[in-house]
Amino acid sequence: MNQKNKIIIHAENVKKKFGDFYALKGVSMNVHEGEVVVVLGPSGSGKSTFIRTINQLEKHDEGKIIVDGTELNDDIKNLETIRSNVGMVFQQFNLFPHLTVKRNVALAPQKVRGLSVEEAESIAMPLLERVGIPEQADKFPAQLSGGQQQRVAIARALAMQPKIMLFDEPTSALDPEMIKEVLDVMKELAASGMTMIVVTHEMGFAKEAADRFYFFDEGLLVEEGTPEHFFTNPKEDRTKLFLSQIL
Amino acid sequence: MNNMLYQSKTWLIENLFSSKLNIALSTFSIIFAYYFIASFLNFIFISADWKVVDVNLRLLLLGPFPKDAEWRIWVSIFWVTFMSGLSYKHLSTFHLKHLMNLSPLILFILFLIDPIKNIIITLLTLISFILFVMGYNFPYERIPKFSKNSFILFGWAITLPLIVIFLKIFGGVETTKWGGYFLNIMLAWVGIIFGFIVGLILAIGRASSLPAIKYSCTFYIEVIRAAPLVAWLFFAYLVIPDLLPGFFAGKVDIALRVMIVLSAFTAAYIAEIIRGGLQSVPIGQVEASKALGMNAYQTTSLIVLPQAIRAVIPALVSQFIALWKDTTLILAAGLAFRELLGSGKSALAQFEFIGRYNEIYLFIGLMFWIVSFGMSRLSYNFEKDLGLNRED
Repeated sequence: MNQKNKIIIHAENVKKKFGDFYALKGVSMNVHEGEVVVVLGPSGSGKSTFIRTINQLEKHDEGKIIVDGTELNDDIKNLETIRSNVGMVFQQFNLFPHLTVKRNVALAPQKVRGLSVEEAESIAMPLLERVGIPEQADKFPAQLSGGQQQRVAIARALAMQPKIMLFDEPTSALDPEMIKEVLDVMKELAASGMTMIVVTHEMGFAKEAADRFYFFDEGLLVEEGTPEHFFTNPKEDRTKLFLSQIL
Repeated sequence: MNNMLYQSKTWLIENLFSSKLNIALSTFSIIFAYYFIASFLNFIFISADWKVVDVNLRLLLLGPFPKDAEWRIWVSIFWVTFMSGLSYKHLSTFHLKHLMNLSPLILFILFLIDPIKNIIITLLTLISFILFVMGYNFPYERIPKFSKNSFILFGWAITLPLIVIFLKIFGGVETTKWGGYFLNIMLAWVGIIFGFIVGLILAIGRASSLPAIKYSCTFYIEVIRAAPLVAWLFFAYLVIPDLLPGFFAGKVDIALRVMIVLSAFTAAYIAEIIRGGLQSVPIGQVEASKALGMNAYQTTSLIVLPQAIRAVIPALVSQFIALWKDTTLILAAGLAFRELLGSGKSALAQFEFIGRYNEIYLFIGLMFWIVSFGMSRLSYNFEKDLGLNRED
């Protein structure tokens, strides 16, 4: 929708090898500020690998990635700064089990941004309210349900006030009845104007919240377009096949 | 009352005498337990002559430590009991039950050592107890600069250096004059603290991606573990003095060398235990920490290590308890100074106490058990504490 907004992520011919296997065979993509992008594709298509190159959890071997004006390459001195501007939510939540919910959210602002304990916790509590679980603040992650844990993980990523949020199959590890509570938080976030890249198979969410779709297969970006385009008139056979399987 | 009797009778029949085999086993066990316990109690209270412990108490506890410097040890004990009181409140709340559990031990020590005859020791022990209570009630929350955790940690961190300095300064006691139970405690304490610190560094080093660091840490661990502790103690006793440059000759006394060897030896084992803990932390934890913008040091110290160490506390404590008992090995290496077991042997060599093995070894066993059991209880409480309050 906001094509006039500036490009915040620019990826050009990104390649990634694991041994001899090319997980990404040259992917190019532009994401504009405020856009919500849904990445689709069968497992092993490279979609997770791709979003992990954006905060350099995976180093790309070839190509160019520019995030918010800074190119990601080996010389980069302030990788931590880039990462703190890019929030990430994982399939397995990856909450810190030895810290309370509140400390999970407050830790990074305190240690990375250098805030005091009180300041960091004054950021954490409103975020826990935003994701709907302020009453769990003093519990440990293991005491929470999967859906609650994933909402804490979203709050934790938001605590760094990122410009971009990456979601790597955020609902795939959840029981069906907990998926909605996480998607609701994500929809609210999308509506608030956050730039989001979401790897997901939740087509309901995608239809409602996404501005653009990208379809990956075998390490390549096969097709891109608006949700209408994908739901009504996909061009490629591989896209059609995939969509017919998940819809 | 009748009902209770009836219930216990049914319980006995159901659980101990339900079949022919059970009847036989139960009868045998009861007879065996009866004779074992009866003869044990008979030995302790009737046939044993505890005079050998009573007369040699000073030798057993302090060895050749000079009498006119004993006050230095008492002051150290006061400090430790005070700190223990502080920590006790933090890890657990006082229950009369705890004191009740300790009472058989206290009664037995009173039975061994006449509290009236040793009036000074009794009084000083009472003062330590008062300090423990004072530590328990210490209002550290009123000291604004520290949180309570860092207050206790800081207190314990300075305790060992303070005690060592305090024992040695202003015409204090040379380490070669340390002995008895006191020596075991100091050796184990030094070994645990430095073994843990060095072991932690080695474990992180071995996980490093830089080959030079990784392989030198691995090399160290494998070399140390390749030889038994006794061999390393011989090494400390005989080889190190020849290896040292002339400047150090005579300055690094045997006690210091033994402390270095115990720490270095323990460090290798601790390193491997912690490495196991590091491997148990899922890679997702590191990724989540990095994704938040935390650097490698923050990720290791705030996310990975707390979880890794938490996972291996039981193994770490086993290693500490092993080290505690291994401090007796300095005797086997024929070293010049005597810890508790060595002092016990000296006591047995005295003409009037020849043959009093049972009394001496039982006493020594008890003294070792007290600290081992204490460490195991401490770790248990510590684990519980970590489960509830896992803040940095």
